[in-house]
Amino acid sequence: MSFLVAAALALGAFVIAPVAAHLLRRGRAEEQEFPPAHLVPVAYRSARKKSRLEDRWLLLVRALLVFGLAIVGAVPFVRCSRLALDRDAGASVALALVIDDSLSMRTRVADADTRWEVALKGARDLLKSTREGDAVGIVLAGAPARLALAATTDLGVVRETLDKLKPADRSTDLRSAIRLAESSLKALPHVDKRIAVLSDFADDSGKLPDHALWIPLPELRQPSQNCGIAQARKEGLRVVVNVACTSSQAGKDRTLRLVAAKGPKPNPGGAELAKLVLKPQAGPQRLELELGEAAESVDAFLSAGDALPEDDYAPVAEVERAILIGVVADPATAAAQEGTATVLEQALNALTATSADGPSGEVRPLPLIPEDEKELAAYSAFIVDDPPGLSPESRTALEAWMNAEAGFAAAFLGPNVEAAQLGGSFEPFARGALTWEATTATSIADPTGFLGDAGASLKELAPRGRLQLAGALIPNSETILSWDDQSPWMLKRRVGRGQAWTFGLPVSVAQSDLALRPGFLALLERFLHDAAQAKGERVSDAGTTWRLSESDQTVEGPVGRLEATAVRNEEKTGSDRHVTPDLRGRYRIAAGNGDFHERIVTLDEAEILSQPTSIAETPLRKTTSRGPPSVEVSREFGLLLVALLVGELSLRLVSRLRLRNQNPA
Amino acid sequence: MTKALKSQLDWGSLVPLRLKAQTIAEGIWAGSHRSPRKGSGIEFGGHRDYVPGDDLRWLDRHALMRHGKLMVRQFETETDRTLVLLLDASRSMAYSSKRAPGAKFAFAALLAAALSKLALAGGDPVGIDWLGGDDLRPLKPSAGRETFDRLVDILEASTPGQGPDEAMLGRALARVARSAARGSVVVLLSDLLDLPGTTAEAFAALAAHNRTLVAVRVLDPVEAEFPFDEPVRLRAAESDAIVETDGQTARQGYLEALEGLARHWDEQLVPRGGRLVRATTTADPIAVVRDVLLALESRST
Repeated sequence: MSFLVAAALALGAFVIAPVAAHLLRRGRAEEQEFPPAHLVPVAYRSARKKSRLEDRWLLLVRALLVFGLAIVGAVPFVRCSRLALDRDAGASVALALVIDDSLSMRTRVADADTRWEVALKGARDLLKSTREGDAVGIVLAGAPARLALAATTDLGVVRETLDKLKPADRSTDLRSAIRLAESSLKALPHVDKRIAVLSDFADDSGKLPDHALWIPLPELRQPSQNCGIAQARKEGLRVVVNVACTSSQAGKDRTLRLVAAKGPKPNPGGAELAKLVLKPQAGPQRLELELGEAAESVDAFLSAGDALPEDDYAPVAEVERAILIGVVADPATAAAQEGTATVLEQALNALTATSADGPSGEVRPLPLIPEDEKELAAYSAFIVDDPPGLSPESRTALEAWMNAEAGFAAAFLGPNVEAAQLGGSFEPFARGALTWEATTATSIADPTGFLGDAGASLKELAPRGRLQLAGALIPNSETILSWDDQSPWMLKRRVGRGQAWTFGLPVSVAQSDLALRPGFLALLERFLHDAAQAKGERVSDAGTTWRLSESDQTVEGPVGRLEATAVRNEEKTGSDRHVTPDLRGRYRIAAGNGDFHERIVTLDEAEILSQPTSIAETPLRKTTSRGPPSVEVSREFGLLLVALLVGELSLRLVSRLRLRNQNPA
Repeated sequence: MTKALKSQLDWGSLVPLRLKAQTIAEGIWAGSHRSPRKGSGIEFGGHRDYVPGDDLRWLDRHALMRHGKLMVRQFETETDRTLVLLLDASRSMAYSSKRAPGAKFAFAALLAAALSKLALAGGDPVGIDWLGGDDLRPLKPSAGRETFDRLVDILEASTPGQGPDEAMLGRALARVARSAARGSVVVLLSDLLDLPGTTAEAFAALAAHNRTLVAVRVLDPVEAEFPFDEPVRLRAAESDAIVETDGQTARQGYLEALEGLARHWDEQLVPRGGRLVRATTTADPIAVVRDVLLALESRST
């Protein structure tokens, strides 16, 4: 505190002055001449009493005025702790508020508010200090990072958006959020652009972008003790629960209970099925429990005892079977070596066996394309290589399967199209008479857009021929990839909940080296991923978007019904309905006919374990100096002083009028 | 000094006295016949000292030779109507509230001028004397047109000052007794507030020699009504004593005390044929002068 501050604040001591003046004057009415005063009876006591009551307000106002002057004298040295924007020469500011809505932000801090509530309050405080001309945008840092509001100068909209924000159980994606904030500010004309990050920085995603960040609210980054259930799975009567604790202290005296679930809402009071005491150890631990009796639906609960109770509950998911992939390929032409599996099977096996992140599944070779829908019901994906046409029965079965079961079918069409049997056709992949033609085109144009870096290998295919798909497009087909002469090579078409993918080359290495390219594996992986997603994974992380089928009507979650959002589909032929569950728990998706199926939303184990990062220990420190987390209060105090002055004058005026009415002398 | 004091007195809208007094007199005359007396009296009523302005026809050369000073003969018809104005010039008479058109002294001076005008117009001599004040000049009774001018000059040059003590009061009343011959009219213009306790009795004593006494109590409206509701600190004009009180609580007591004072004057004057006329400075001066004349008429009947 400088001398000036001390001197200014010492002015506050002058509050004593009006008090002393009041005490001296207290009870004394204004003196006036009155010749017959000797005839007036004395009524001293009641006069004093009335005067005291009347003067009290004036005393208060005067004391406040002196105090206010002292504070104004100390400004800008005196600051209050509310967050506010510090302006350079009063210029307008473009501000991106990065608000972390991950699970860790639901941790309670010292004064019983959660980090999320503290962050929201900080955001509102910042908003209060904005003024006309400032642009404010909101980015949410729960994974995946989202732009909640593009930067706008309409501060009312910003306020409304802040009011609508809700906490979530997502994992953290600060890195993407900051990049998103950067890009949202890029187009704005403001010179002064800032990114305020309201987060606990409990994020293991690596180094944050090297951008000038403002990181206020250090109370968000206080460490806390936490144990939480990441996932719980059931196989028969055996339940495996993954629990994570930040420290051994957090896991001490904690009990895991399994109870019978009842609907989407957590049911901690349900019948207890099993119980186990946690080991007091830091990090993840896998707990296995045996259910005493069979239960259709089970919830896992951890006894209370940490700062984040939201992760002490998890619905137990049934272990999901791997997706089944049907493959029809002629071993005689499509096998790499005689007597071995076809290239297609080998590729699919490789994908489903080795990919950690990709879909797990089982590849089942089929001699023929099934002609009954029921035969296909067990499959999630079906791939046919160089078929000599599809019989009407097969065609009907495939379309019904795609419609009803959200099946994904792919056809690699080759020279056999010219050997199509009588009555056979290639629908639902292509229509009309297809021709296999010689070609000079050697590469697929721009495959990386669809397949990523691996798609670059499709630029040199050296095919011996190709299928001419230009005249074979079924309405609502979309050309995804083309030859370098613009002739279509890959088509995609929605068929009900499923899709039909068509390729203008067979897998056979005798026709092209497609199967030898990494792009081929990328193609299959994309296909299987989309197929698995359409079929519906039963377990997903919080924040994962679900696409609802046409028959899905409502989604009921732990905190009530979720509203679906209509999003235009990829083919731009209509719109899909999406929901994004933010909170962990059991979700019931009901069809119009009363049937329903359940999905389970789980937590990211890393999100439970991650602790707030101390900013002082990160490289961000050097870039966080934009403005102090404080606000000048001169304007507020100035206005207060004016109000007090008006109050004093009003009181005086009222007193004078009363005196004039009562005392005409 | 005089100018400074004069500037302190709130004359308000009561000046110029000449014109205002003329207006009041004309208001009194309106509707009544104008009957100033003409000629001399028929019954000798004694001598008195000559004062400038007296009709030289009544200068008595025999008395000059006998006493060595100028004296005039008086007749009964004239001496009956001598008007002696006794003005209270104590400090309290300088009081003026915001509701009043001027100070009590100014109002009393206006009444005195108006009464003088009326008396002089009737041929009656008029004199003036003071209760209190600082070295104020009395005017012996005389008639004639110039008397009014001299009287107004004296009034306009006068300002209230020190209040009369017992001795001063005695001297002033003795002067009045000397100048007011038998049958004279003595009009006291005062607020009756800061006078010595025996003033009423001493004034009433002037009723001897068939004198007619009228006391006009002139109060400021604030003094008459005591319109305070809140706590007040009141400072007396003469003694600087301060009274702290609550207006609402004290009003009744004050008004009773004021009325008690007036009743005391009534008790002293009425048995001697005198009257007390109550007036405030906001009252119509014409009405007040008429009240004074009515009081005089009731005495003569």
